[in-house]
Amino acid sequence: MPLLEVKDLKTYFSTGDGVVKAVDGVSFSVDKGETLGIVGESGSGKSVTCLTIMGLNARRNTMSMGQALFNGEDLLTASQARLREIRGNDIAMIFQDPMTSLNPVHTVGTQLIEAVTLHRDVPKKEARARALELLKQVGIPRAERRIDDYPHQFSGGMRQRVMIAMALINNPELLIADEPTTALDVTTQAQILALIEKLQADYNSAVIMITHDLGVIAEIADDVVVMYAAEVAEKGPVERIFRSPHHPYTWGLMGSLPRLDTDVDRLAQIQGQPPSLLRPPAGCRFHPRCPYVMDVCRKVDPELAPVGDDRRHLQACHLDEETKEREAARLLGAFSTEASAAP
Amino acid sequence: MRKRLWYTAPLSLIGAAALAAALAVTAAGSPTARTAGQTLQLASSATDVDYTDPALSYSVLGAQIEYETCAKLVNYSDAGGKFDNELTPDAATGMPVISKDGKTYTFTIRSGIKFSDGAPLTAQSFVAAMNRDANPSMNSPVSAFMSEVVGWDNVVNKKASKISGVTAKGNKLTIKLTQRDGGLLDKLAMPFFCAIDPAKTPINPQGVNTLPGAGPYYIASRTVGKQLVLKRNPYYKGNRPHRADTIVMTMNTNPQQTFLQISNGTYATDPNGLSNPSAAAQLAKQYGVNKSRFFVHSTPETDYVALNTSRPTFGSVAVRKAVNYAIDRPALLRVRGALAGQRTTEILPESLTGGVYNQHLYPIAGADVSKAKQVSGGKCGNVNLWYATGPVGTPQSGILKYNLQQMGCNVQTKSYVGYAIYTAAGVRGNDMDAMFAGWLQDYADGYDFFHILLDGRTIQASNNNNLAYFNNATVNKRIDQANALTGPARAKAWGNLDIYTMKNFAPWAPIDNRAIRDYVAPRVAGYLYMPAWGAQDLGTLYLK
Amino acid sequence: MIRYIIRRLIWAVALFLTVTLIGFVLFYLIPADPAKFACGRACTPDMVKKVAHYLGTDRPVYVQYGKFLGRIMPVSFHGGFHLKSPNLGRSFVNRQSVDYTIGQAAPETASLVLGGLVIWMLIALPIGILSALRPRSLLDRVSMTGVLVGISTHPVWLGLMASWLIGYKLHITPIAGYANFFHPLFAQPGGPIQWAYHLILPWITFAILFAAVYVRMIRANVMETMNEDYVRTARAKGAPEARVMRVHILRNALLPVVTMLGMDVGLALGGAIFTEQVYSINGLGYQTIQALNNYDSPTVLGILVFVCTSVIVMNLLVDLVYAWIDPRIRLS
Repeated sequence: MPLLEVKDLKTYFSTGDGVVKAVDGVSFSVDKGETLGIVGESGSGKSVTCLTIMGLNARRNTMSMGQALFNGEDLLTASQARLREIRGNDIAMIFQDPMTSLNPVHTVGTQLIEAVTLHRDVPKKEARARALELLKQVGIPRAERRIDDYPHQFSGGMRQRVMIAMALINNPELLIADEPTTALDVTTQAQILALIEKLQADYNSAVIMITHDLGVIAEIADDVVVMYAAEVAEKGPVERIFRSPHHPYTWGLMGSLPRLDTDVDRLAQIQGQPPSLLRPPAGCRFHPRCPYVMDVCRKVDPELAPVGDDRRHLQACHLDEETKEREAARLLGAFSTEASAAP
Repeated sequence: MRKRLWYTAPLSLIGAAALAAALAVTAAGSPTARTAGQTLQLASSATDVDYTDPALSYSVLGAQIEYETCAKLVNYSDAGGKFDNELTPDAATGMPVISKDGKTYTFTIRSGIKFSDGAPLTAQSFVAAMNRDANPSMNSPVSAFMSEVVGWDNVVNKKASKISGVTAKGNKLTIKLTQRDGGLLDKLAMPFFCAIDPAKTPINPQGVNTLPGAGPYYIASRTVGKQLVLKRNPYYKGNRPHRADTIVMTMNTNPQQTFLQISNGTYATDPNGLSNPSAAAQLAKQYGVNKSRFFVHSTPETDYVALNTSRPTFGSVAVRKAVNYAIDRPALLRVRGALAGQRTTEILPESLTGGVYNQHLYPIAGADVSKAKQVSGGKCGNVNLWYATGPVGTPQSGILKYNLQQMGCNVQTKSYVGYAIYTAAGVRGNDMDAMFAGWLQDYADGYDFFHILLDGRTIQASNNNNLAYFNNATVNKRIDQANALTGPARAKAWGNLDIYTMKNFAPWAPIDNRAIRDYVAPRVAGYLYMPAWGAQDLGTLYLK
Repeated sequence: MIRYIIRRLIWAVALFLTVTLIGFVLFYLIPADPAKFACGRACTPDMVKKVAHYLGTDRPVYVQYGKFLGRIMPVSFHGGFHLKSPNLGRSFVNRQSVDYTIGQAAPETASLVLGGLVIWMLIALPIGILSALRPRSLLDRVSMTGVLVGISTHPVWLGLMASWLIGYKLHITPIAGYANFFHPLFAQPGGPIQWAYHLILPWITFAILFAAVYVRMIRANVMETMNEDYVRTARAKGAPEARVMRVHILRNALLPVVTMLGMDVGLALGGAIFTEQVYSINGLGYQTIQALNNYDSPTVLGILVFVCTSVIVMNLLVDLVYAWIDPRIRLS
């Protein structure tokens, strides 16, 4: 059975202006040791999905429906005490901005030790040794000295390493990484990604990588979920998504990637703006921006359906198969020299 | 049911005992007006006594305290709980023998009087007191009144170490003067002439706080700014009352709170008078006046408007007289609250006029603007009106400004804070035309008013008290004449001079003679008013 | 660290000199003659001159200021260099040593202010934190209304009302007055219990204004801190809410409170004037008012020196404490 199975997850926030449907029917699963990438624009609901799984949304004015089965246990109906047991222990999460995600008035060591002692009844010395071990593993130089430093004494990249150390310190089965490299420069990005991959292998953890960067997806994901406007637009194994994308949004994402081999004056962009989640468009939520929009798109929200008979590759679009194959091939023709090797 | 409640009984017993213990502790510590051995608790609101050193103390409160702790050559008696406003011998066997030329006074000191530490009181005690007063290190204010004593000024000016004119031989004390002074005896009744034991009362420019006293009480302790304690003089054998064993005075209390605390008996009274003047009307209604709890008496003090005769507007007699018609005395007095004083048109308080007193030289019922304009000829001019800000000064300035404007004057006001107004007004040549002022007698003689406040010959460059800058040769001569008299003729002379000055020259517009309003706690008896000091007697109070 | 302290000390001295100089000059400019007041109204100009000489007011202002500074210094050059105890001179009005006056008044003000501090924090911390945890709840709305009332109510009005109702009418507490903790005055209440008993109403009166301000501040700080990313991290680690509140939220949210506390106490030691007036507590504020009304410049300047020093010391202490508790400051 998959490690994490999310079924028809919905998260609604009631605000002064109305109900915001931040996640509106999202399903995916993650297998043990696998990496799932969730990609989409800001506001697509990718972060909220994972926060919902962890139970980290503010409890007031939040409604969550559906199921998030972790080893068969539904996290959405679990008690607060049970969730606290799981968080930081079985499922760990790291966040986007390492500059603000660590408490500035406690040492890094204290915060790492806290992560351990929250879940294990061990003497402080042992927890500290463990913290030291993790710091070395994530590549912090002179870890014995640095363990007693404060977060502001570390650079952004180093802090993110510390966050990763803190997340993995209890050998979680699942690591959720919410845009861990967005706030870092490109070189550091590569280092962090490499680190995550390495540790994933060492610890045999599953990883959910949330990002808006297709490059990151290509680098480390096994499976991909493309989200748009609180729904899943397309999902499937990474090679299928890259070699044979079957959704206009996905085409738009790919097409807007900068390329080395052609000269373009402007990057292709998807016209229009992401929709309001307060009053999403009727029918297919992408239809106002879709160059292929048809009448039916305006009325009926497409369901996820398999591509051909590949049950693992699903897409939600009214376009017929032929058109999609054609467009995919056109895009790929442009990409053929760059079809990325599997990691 | 019973099972659950079995422990509540002993618990509530313990609780009650604890509560009782706590209350007992607090009650034992809390000051009530009734404690064994009659300790009288007084509260002096908003102020401390200035000094308890007889050479330095120059305030009404100081006078009240020293009245209890001092033996003087002559004094006012409160024997039998009645106040005698005529001077009688105190430590002297009788009134002094005065030489024919009026320049030598000889006192015989009674034997057997002892200070509170057992030391005997002798003629030397008074010599020591006067020498101490004159000592340049002490800077005593009394030197302003004692120039007529032979050799006094030499000591002040460091030309001699002892006053040559004051000597003692055995039990005889002799005081020599350079000229007649009909007010000498009144001056000797001032607290500055308290008998002292020089060994226990050293020269100290800061003033001594405690010293042995030969009066019914002595100063047992003083914590500056906080508390003064008087205790009965164990050696006192005289006939003056000293009903409470101990008098404890707490200083610098809040006036409104003191009023409440007297009402509920925490303090017996405020020696300075009713601390909350706005309550006067209600107290009069509730307790009547001069019956049991609330007392009102006239004091030897005059509130007036000084009119600067050295400047153009009030250089004219007619205009000055007109002001005395235009001024609204009742309104000005009402600012001070109910029963605050008695309207007057004279310079001296009635007690200093020897019976020659006229309250109606000018209207006291209200402003008579038409008469004022008639007298002034309708003209006035510019008036710079100075006043000290406060609950009295500010409203009064408004009233007077209105009165003067009605009369045709062009009025500009200028305000000061505290005594700065006196410093500024004391500089000769200032631009003050009119200001509010007051004067309480230092001793019971008209010279204290006339010489200091209206004698043109005392005008100097600065530090003037003659705020009207009044200098009239005839008045000056009549001051000297009155000063040469003694006995009832003297007082009458002052009274006549008062009427003469106000009728013909009107350097002031007198407003009122202040009253003191006293408020005592329930169960406090023995209130006695002392007209000589303008305050209540502390030694006659007791708890019923 | 040493250099930091030395730099602060130099600034402190400069500030001190500036404040005292300004105070001195202001008094000099006021047209009030303390010698005449001290001498007595009947004094002749000659006598006034002598008193002026005794008081020292007949010297030029820079000489007076120099003497003033010389008195405050702990060292003296007269007859060789030697240590001496600093003193603040003598009052013009009653010739008492200003040191003595301050020595009497300061403990009363300190009792009022420090006790009031405890009470206002006891009120402000729980209410501020609870209001932040439950924004727009009934508790929050009630406490915010209370804050408005607390800030708007004048301590004099509050004090008079409270002492009248609770002291006079209901006899629950004394109406006014101060009971000395160690050395009760003769026949006056004293000792620890009476001291506290007499201070109950003054503490509450004094504390209300500050409590109101601090409730708002703590509420705002906690609400802001609750949204910080590291709080989310702590929850993601599986920390229980109590721990999140204690170790992560409060530890950060209350940092600015420390600075404000230091400053407020330093200032309040200068005299919680209104409360002292209403309850007959002869503290520094009361003494200042009395001295000002009488143009008693040595006392006013002496208290100014004392307050200036205490504010400077408090600020220095606050900076040091802040550096100790906030590691981001420490190492810069």
